[in-house]
Amino acid sequence: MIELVNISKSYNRGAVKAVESLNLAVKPGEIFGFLGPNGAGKTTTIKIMVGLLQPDGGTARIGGFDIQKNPLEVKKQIGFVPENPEVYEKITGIEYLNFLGDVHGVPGPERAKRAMELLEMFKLDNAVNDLVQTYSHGMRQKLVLTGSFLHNPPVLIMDEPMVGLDPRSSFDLKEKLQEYCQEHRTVFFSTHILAVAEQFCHRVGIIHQGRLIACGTLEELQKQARNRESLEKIFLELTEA
Amino acid sequence: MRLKMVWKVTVLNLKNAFGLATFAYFFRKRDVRFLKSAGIFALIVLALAPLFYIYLRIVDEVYEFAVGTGQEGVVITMGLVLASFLVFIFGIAYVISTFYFSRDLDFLIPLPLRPGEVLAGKFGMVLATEYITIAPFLLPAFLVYGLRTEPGLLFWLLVPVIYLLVPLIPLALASLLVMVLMSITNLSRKKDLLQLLGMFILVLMIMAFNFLMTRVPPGEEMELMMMIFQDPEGLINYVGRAFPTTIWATRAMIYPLSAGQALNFLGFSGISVLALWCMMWVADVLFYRGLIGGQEVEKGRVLDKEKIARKLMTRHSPIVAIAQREMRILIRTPIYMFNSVAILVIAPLAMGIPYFTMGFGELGAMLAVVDRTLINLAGAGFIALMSLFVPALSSSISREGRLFRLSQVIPVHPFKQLLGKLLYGFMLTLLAVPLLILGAFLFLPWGFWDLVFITLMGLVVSGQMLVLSLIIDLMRPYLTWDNPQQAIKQNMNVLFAMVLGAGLLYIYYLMVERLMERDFSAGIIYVVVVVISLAVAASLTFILHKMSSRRYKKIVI
Ligand SMILES: Nc1ncnc2c1ncn2[C@@H]1O[C@H](COP(=O)(O)OP(=O)(O)OP(=O)(O)O)[C@@H](O)[C@H]1O
Ligand SMILES: [Mg+2]
Repeated sequence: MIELVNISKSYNRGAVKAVESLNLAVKPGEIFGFLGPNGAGKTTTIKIMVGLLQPDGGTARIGGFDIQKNPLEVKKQIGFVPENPEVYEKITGIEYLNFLGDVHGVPGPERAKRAMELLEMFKLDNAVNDLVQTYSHGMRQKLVLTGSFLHNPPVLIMDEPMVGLDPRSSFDLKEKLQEYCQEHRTVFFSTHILAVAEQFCHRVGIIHQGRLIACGTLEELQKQARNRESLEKIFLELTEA
Repeated sequence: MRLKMVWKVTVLNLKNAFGLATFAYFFRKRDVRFLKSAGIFALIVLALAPLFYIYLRIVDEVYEFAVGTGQEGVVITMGLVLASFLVFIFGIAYVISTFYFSRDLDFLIPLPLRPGEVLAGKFGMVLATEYITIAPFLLPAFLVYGLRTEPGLLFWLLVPVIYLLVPLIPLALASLLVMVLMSITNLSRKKDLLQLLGMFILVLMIMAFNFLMTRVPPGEEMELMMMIFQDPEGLINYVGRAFPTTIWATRAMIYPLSAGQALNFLGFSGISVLALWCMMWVADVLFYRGLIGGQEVEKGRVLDKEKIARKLMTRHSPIVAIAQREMRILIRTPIYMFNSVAILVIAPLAMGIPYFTMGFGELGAMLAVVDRTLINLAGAGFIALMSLFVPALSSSISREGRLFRLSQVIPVHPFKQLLGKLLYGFMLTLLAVPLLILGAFLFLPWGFWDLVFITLMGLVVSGQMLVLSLIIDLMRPYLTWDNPQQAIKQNMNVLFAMVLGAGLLYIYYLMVERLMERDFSAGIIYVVVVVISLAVAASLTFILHKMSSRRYKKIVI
């Protein structure tokens, strides 16, 4: 579903190598956790996947389409949650969702059904008629999350989706994601919460200084490290070597 | 007040606003992008050169005229008054957004700074931009007077001092009014609306004040003339009376060294400093009080599930959805609304002031001798001009700011998104129509069908202006702004589009004039204008289509 081949990206004319020849494949029905220390290149990779950044080299394919060559086809297939939940301040939650529904061409009844389900799950239905300006950080995040499910995309790409959510909401989100990928849908997300990755990712990848230093199921990662107690220990060992 | 702190806040803001850091960085690294920035700057200067030349000629002619009265100093008064007005009028919107809507306030306020210090730092930043704004109006006045009168060294020494002092009083005045306005509107529930109204009322008050000051009571024209020409300072006093301090500044500059001159200078600089001090003092009390008003917003009604679901059912095409989004953001952001709609109120008033003293009857009589075709086309041209000045599209990509990212990831072809913006541009352009209707009621010779025809013509001519504006903004959008006002006022694209578009309209005017001289019928002239407009719009749209995908991909925020 997601294929990254030899992706490289540097900032400041090569001075900062944010991502270096990254190769990665995620299959349909998989939940993939993308881990790495601050500044490792997670957001950069994700931005390349959704077309916000042009890579210096390499190709990113989603659902068989190259983001460079067929950006629209790729964008139709993804739901994207950016690192910071920035939403137009001056429109209401409903208007935001309708905007996304319109640009994705989601029919009205379908749109209402999906949105309502998530709005109720996130307990956002009371605020959905207010301007986004009045939302708290977590409420914005919930709105963006709701929007990303609206067109039932085959691939969800999320940059730290749990940040700012209260325990109940992040629990519900995890349930929702698990349910989601059972229909052969793919979830790709970055996170710093190792417990989450450990619990419910089918596979994880660890990126460090722009390079993918480990990738696989929990068992596979355990083989790579000496200290096998927990993902936390493995992570620390691999990224501090 | 710790000046060091004020200075720090100012420098931080300036660096951020003008991209000075990036510029210096490119320069140090010998990056070619440095040349690009410099090239764009050169281009801007080039585009404005003709306007500047015309202004220089006007100043020179005023000087020529004033020589006859022995009051050449009036060119300086004129420059000072003009500069003060500009600073004041632009200052209001600019000050509101920098003081109250900057993103960095969340960062600055928790720091151990006094309200007055934060505000003064922000003031410094606005001031710096005002120095740039007034330079082309003030410097020609100094130059013309200085070169033609040869007033001696002291004059030239005073030029930079006065130049630096001029914007202080009007800007401090604007800041004071804004702070009062914001702290009052903050008490109410409908803050956005009140702020918008407040800004309008301020501007209207200024115009009314100006109108009253310059108005001559009927029957007293002769006495006024006598006063102006017999009093050795009559002309200067007359020009400067809207901003009396400019009279003092003029005196300080044009009279030889004397006690009187020193007194005038002291008076002018004293009041400037006093205005500044006053503003900071008020800021310590009022600034933070109005601040929450910038951010707190009234809650909407809580809807039950059925209502929400029903609202979510309405479906539009992507193009309409985008036009809708643009419209909503415009309407709900007071500062955008002010910029767009104020110009619709201010422009015709400013153009009309000299004529209002005449009375509409006389105005109508005056127009009766002008060719109807020309009046109709002028109406259409007015609509087109408004599409540039609103400014609907020359800042429409810039205004998306950091949220442009969302436009980059939605699955709507960039060209389609731009079409949505065009739709919005046309809707906004229609705001000019009520003005035409008003004009038709008052003095313009138009009936209902005339108005319909003129509106359609206007939209046809506007098309190319809108596409041109969009192309300009797409080429080099300004997305990293810190407060919404910058997206419009610090955006050279807006200026570019206005200058280029106005130039284009001028070419149409010349063309129509030629056609009329050769006695072509009205029908043919209309057809020619429409055909050329559509052809230009079509070619521009083609260019827009070609560049859209590439630009949407390339832009990185
Ligand atoms: N716009 C930019 N300009 C220059 N360098 C950048 C830019 N954005 C990111 N970088 C650099 O690229 C590298 C990778 O950054 P990235 O944002 O991808 O990290 P991340 O893994 O998402 O980190 P975090 O966990 O903190 O979100 C860092 O060294 C960062 O300094
Ligand atoms: Mg990140």
